[in-house]
Amino acid sequence: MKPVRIHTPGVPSCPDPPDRLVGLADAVRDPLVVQSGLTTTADGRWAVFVTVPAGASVPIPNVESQAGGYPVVYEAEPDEPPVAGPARPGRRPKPTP
Amino acid sequence: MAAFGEALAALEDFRADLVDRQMNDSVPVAQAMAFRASAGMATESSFQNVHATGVGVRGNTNKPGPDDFVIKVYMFNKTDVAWAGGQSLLNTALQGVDVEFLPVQVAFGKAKPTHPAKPAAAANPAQHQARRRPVPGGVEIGPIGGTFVGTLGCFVRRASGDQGPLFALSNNHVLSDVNQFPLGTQFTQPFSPKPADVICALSDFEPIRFPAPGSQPRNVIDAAIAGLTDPSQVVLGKMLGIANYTPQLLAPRPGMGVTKAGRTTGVTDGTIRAIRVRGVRVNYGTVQNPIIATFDNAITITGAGGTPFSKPGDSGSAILDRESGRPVALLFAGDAATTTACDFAAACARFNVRPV
Repeated sequence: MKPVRIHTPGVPSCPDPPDRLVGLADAVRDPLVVQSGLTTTADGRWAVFVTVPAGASVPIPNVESQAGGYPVVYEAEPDEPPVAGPARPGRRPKPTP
Repeated sequence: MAAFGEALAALEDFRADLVDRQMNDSVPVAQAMAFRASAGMATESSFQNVHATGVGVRGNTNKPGPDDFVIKVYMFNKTDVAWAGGQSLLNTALQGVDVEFLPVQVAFGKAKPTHPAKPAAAANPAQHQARRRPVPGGVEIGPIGGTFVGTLGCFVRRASGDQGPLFALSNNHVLSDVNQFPLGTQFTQPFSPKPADVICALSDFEPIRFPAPGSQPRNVIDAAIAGLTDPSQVVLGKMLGIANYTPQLLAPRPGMGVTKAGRTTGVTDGTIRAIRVRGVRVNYGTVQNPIIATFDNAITITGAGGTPFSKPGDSGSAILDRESGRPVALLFAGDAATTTACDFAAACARFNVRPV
């Protein structure tokens, strides 16, 4: 199975993630894991969130074992990283008189 | 034949493919948006004419079985429905899940929004690019005499009382041009060469750290503050286009419906996809010459209905819980499908300020 392009989380079944899950998500390490964090499954269970290359086969046993029994949501890494940049409008200011 | 969970999983891939096709569609954005505002007008069918997608029960079954779920695609009218039936992307069963088409007139009566609190606000970017006095949050700012613009997210005050100094909150890459501007650099609202339009001056910023030989630094926020030159020119507790703005911090959650007011796309809605995300690589350069910084504790957001939550120029927008109007994140990066934000409370803690 391939990772989803965009995961759609559900409303959390409880407001805060379990402390143990927070620690596990911070500590996930695998050569295929680019990002890790927290999300919820479509039915609202707290889960480990990881992004992996779009062509990777998931689930990844090494990641599942590190998740300590919590669900793992795999999302495909985008082709390019997001860009942080302001807009450059066409109306350039005129010199101050 | 598919169960609900299977249909839901297939829907995610379907939407991703659809967004890809919509981004490549030849219909100009302005035309597409105009079409969306008036569903009845005649126009050529395209991937832009998909109004909504979701999971539903096959046909009009009154007593659905456990495997009667399909992907439902709502098109603007019956002409679009016929057109969609001839498109391989739209009419092919995905992962064993069938796809059904309906005209949107049927959808209005049956569809349940994910976040039913309020109707989606109409985006009106021009309002956010105009001169506003008094100045609310969610409007265009730029360095005087500069060449770029961003968004004034909201106003913040230092110290706990009502007498502390007031600042405008936005991104480092807006107020400091990525660690470059000296403190005291003046900003106008809107983008303007006129000293009379100056409203604030750079006071402090969190440096963005980039990799260097032997160093792989991690960032947590892209944020800066600018002291107001004349507080009487601003209005506190107001966000342009968002009536329920409430300047009280709230923790972000996956699945939370969010909204923002930004300079380029105006008011848009979305959903938080993940929180506390480590290892997010963000490009501060160009596609041809990338300059990458890595962030931890990031928040990722997807726009509602397959539309972008943000575009360049929206950087610095305060992202609010749609239900309560409370700030949860500060927008700083994005691509066609995803917006990346940092934790709003972390930005406030860095500068010892609170939203007002």
